[in-house]
Amino acid sequence: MSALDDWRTDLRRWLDDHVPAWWQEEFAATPYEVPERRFDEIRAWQRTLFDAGYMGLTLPRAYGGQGLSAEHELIRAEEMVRASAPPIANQVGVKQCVPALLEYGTEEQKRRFLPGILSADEIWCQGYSEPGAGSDLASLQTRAVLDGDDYVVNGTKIWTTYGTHADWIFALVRTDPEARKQAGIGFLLIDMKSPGIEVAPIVNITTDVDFCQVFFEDVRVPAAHMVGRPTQGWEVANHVLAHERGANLAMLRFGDFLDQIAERARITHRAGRSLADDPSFRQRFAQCRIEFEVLKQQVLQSVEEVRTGRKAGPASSLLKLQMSEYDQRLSRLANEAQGLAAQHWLDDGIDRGIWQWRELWSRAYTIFGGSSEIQRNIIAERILGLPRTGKGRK
Amino acid sequence: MTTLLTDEQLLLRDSARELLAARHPIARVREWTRSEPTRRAEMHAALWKQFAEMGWLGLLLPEEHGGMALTFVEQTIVLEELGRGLVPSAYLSTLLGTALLARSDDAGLAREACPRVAAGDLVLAVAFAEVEGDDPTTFAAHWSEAAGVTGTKAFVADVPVADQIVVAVRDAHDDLVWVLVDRDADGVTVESPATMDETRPLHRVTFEGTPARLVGRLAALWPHAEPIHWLALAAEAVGGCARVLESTVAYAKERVQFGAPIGANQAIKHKCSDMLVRTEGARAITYHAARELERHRDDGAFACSMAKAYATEAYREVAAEGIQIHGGVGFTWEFDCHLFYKRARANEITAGHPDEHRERIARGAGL
Ligand SMILES: Cc1cc2nc3c(=O)[nH]c(=O)nc-3n(C[C@H](O)[C@H](O)[C@H](O)COP(=O)(O)OP(=O)(O)OC[C@H]3O[C@@H](n4cnc5c(N)ncnc54)[C@H](O)[C@@H]3O)c2cc1C
Repeated sequence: MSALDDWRTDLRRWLDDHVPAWWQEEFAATPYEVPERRFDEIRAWQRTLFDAGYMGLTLPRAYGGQGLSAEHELIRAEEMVRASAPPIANQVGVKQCVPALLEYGTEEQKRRFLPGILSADEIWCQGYSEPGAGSDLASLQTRAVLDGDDYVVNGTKIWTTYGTHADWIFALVRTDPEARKQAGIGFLLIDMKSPGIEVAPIVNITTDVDFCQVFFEDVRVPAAHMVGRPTQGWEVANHVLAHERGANLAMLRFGDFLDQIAERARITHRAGRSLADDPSFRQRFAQCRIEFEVLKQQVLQSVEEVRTGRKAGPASSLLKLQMSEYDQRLSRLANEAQGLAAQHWLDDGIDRGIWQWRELWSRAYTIFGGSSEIQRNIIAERILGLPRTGKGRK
Repeated sequence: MTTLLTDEQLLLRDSARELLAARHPIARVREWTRSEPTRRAEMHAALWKQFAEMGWLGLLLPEEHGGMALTFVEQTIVLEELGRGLVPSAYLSTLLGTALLARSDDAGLAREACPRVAAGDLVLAVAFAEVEGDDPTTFAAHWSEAAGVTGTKAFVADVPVADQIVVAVRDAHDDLVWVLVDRDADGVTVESPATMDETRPLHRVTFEGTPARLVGRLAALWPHAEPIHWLALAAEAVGGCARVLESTVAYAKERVQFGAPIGANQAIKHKCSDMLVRTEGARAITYHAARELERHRDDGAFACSMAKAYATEAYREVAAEGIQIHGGVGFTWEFDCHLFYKRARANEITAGHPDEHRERIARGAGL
């Protein structure tokens, strides 16, 4: 216990010294999104964390990890929140590729790829969605055909976050077009510098270039880069998804945000009084305060469930659904507290427009990682046991 | 403190649920609502005896008062189960009354009352609101040592089965105080106007020079007892939500229209998912409030207020969707949907509408 406390104290001191000042100034209100225009600095931040021994805590040393416990991981999460530290650059790699490799990867794959993910030497992106396969991901068309020791990949992936920065992509590819659609999919690791790959940036709602479309034309990928069996990809992806939707302690920061919103509301005036004295604003503010507590308690509960060895199941959908919709209400409230100034954008706005940026960003939370509609389907079918839509018909 | 229930707490929940389902199913609740006052009192006495045997009447009380010295978490578990079964009983009233008496300046009062409560020998009612509402600044009922209590209190639950009533009145200095009267004392008249929620009838009690014993100042006692009222109503709401959700999901799986269970339609599924979200949210904030009240016995009010606002509003929404998803049968007297909706509305309105609590939260959060 006391060794853990010491570890926490060291980490806290380290964070006090190392969290970049520019981050604190500009982005303290963004608990999870990496602003694309500062990607290189965020990448350097992850490297700093890695060098100090604060990445891959629970991973074996042979894979670039620290061989520590889940308790350490939780302390790290808590201290990162407390210090308003920036997120890491390789989020997709760490949250998704790492669990996939740990569970399904070969020893060689683990040794080859895990250290680079943790150190941010190799940035990863997720190649799941296609123009014709979004929520219905299993209908994906990108083909991988075995030719000697290589797969030959043809097709296209879209909405690929950090595709322009990524060194590697983990892609879901169709290996068996004859099989049932979920059964013919593989989870393949592809070098983004391979000949035949074309990356077309897409400008998003916040004018950032976070995501892009990736085109594959006769791209040769060593067969050794298949994770799991060539038809096991759907299972791998689902294993990863449960991780992605799990509790995010960064939401604990929302308590500070609510304080900031209250402060702003006292400054803003409308209809002859401070917004803080407007009964309807007070009601909405209080509702957000209550819902914060409602969510926080569920997040803490799920952290405790994970710690006591219960698995992240479909219940993670409950959190994903609530969190994403809450985030939208909270950032809208933050902007409402600014009055007319809420119309400014980025550097010309209050707090460099961080809340305008977040309000727009929050629209994505209910779309990616399984939209709110899909989460409600999952909750209804897998938790409540209601019949699968379409399949209940006789 | 952990956010998960311990094995002992889960056991308490299961045994409470089993007992109430076996001895006090909804059919018996309905029978109670149809019965004459004397029969109701008999049914209540039998139930009360069981509560006493289970130790539920002294869960929070110290051992020297015959209690179990457990925490607000266990208390919440029992209240949740009572809410789940819509069990008509003076449990909540007695809990609240005991919280007032236990803190009385008159130390003898607590010493006398608490062991009797724990043993099942003392049932309490709490008379706070008046006909005009529950804003104490408008209260008119008054008391003095010499003249006793005179005035009318309204929206008082459990009067017919109560042995004593804790009453909020003005003293000779116009200060608000709590006094204790015997239900059978001189000058007590009870009227029972009809209430929408028949599982918790509310009464109007008129006192005319009724002798009473001073309990203590409202300003001193109420801040400790009122949050318990909020927590209790929230806990009942959690139980009600869970019960409505279960029966509604079961119905959605079984009722076939257009050749498929209605639950195969997304419009129904998504409503059910939202009902689960609300239920789990209500549960999370309510048990949080219980733990907060336990941690700072004197300062759990903020969390209890949040729980009251969130859980009772959730209950009303969940109960309303329960009716909707049942269709026509949901509108019938025969199906139970309406019983839960009515209790939900009562719990939402009682002890501070959610709007009032949000105003309190806004203030507490620095706005
Ligand atoms: C900012 C951002 C970043 C992303 N990053 C990545 C990434 O890095 N890698 C990657 O692979 N993908 C990424 N995505 C893609 C994301 O996963 C998809 O957008 C998502 O799966 C939804 O697919 P779609 O956009 O095709 O919408 P659609 O599936 O076409 O959905 C459109 C609408 O229809 C609804 N809908 C669809 N099916 C159903 C149904 N069965 N029941 C009810 N409603 C339904 C949806 O909820 C939605 O409202 C990203 C998306 C965004 C917005």
